[in-house]
Amino acid sequence: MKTIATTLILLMGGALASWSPQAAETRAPAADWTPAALSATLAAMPEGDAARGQLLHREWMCDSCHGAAGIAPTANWPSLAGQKADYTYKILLDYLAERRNEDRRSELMIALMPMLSDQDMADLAVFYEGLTPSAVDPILRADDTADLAHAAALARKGDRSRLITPCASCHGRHGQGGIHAAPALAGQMPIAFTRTMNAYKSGLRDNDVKASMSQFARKLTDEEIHDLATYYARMD
Amino acid sequence: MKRREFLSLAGALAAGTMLPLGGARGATGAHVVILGGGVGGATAAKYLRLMDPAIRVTIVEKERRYLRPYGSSEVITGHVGLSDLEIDYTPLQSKYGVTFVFDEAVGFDPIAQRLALKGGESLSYDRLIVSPGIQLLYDQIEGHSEALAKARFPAAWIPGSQTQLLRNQLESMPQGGTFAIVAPPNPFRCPPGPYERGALVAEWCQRHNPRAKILILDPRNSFVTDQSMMLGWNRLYGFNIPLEFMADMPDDVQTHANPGLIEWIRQQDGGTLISLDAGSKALETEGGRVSADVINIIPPMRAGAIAEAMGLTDASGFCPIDPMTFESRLQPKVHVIGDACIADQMPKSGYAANNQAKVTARALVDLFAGREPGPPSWQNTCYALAGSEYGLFVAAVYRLQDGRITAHPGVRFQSLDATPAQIRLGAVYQQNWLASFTEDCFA
Repeated sequence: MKTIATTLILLMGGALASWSPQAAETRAPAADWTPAALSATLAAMPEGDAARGQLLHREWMCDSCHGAAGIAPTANWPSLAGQKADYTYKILLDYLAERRNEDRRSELMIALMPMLSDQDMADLAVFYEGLTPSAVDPILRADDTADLAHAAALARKGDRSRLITPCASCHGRHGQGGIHAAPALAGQMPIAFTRTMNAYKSGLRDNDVKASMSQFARKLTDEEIHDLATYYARMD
Repeated sequence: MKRREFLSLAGALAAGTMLPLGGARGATGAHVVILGGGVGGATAAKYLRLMDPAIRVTIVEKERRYLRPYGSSEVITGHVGLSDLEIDYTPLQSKYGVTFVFDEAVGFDPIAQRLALKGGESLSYDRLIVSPGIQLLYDQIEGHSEALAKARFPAAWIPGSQTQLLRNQLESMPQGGTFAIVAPPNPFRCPPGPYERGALVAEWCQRHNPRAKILILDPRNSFVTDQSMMLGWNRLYGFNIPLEFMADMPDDVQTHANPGLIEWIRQQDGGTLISLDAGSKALETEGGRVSADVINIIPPMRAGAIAEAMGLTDASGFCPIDPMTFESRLQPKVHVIGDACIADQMPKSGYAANNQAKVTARALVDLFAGREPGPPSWQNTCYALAGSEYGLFVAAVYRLQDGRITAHPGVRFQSLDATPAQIRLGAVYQQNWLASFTEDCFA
């Protein structure tokens, strides 16, 4: 344990040497996202090192909630395997700026971020992107009650009458994610998916750029969110 | 109340009116009466109702609102206010159908299985759970008294006006002043508590009174979480770790030329308190006279007064129980849980009281169903803060071994080479634990 901790401190370039929680205050909190700000932030993202990301994943105990291979061991936490690196990087910055602070889970992430450098965040992000997602274990899904045909229609065609854009236009036809840090959804834990959608719907979560997600979440019914959660949970 | 006076009231029971819910027994399910709506009593009530809704549960409690003791040192340093400790009993009543009687027990007939209440009513029970917490024995310290604690030298170990007084005293302490904490002798509620309090006060002083001195006077030479706490003190407040605690310490431990904010005066250095000199605001200790601007004496303690009045305590002042069911060894069909009972190696903590309540509820459900209670197992976790962002803990799983509640061997403390992430998360876990634990007990 001691050896690993020492190695980590060396890796972190001394960033860990401080026991005081002052590190966060030296960074300016990000302004509210605009498309231009997001583009600039992502363009400035350091090149990630997946091997180093894997070490951080273990040493920062990310694996205890998100799983050793990025597949969450329980339904309570999001899986990260195959998640797009730009999305993960953006989310970690959102936690750093406390732009994401919707529940007690967020508090855990917020507490850790001041101790991570931009390079650490990029390394973790690239590591998760390289992991292989898999469909959620059937035990953790609720297939019986989901209307998968309706979910597929929403995902592929959207709903013109309610001005709902197809999910796939940003998140990809196979839930693989898309440009502008649109997250991958394939293999996501249904509880995490539903929690996220409800947080966007209620306004608890507002770290999306110009309400790009919440505007749709607000239009979806609880049943539709459940349908979509099951639909994406079955993808890999 | 004296024991004799208390028991003599049992005779008045026959004339007392019976509450309807205290009347019939057996036909519509068993009736469990719980004395005390703290962590132990509330948890027992909730879990009895969850495990078997046919069981009727009545809590007898003096106060309409509960002030949680766990995390209450954070009031002293202003992280939370006294009102943040308040807990409302409504959810236990509305969500779980627990009946509350806001009254006090004044008489007890263990043979007839009945309690007399101050309001004149009486309650009969199939099983009685007593969860009275602790009482503080101010008078056992020469020169000290409850009146002095309330007015000038607060214990602030049971939250209330003394907690607020200590908060005010810290705020108005002169620059460079001395804040003395007197740790109580064993056994006591919240074993890491006096040391966590010292750390939180030191953190507050770092910001508001940097030349202040925090003295922890201790009748012991070691304490639970000692090494991990001292490491935190060293890193945060310039505490010099005594040599015999240096084994396995990480390389970043420093020896400070000037002693820091915290000074721990243990038993071998004369830390044991002899008396209080209220007139000149000083403490006589085995190591000599100590003057201080703020004096926080946590006195010796024993089981809540009601336990003694009911004949549940032994010479130790606490309540001997059969660990299988937590049934009193002194009174039949009465179970004692929480800080008041003698639970062998389990500490006196909120977590332990909550856990004992669940195990006892399970045992009662089995007893009412005519089943032999299964082999019990318990657990405890105490989180403690060395700073508001520096968390540590002690945790254990217990089982019955040769008739005693015995800790399962294994890793129990925050590792001395814990990474900054683990330490930071320890503090977040502590805060999240406070919230989810309160929910588990009361909501």
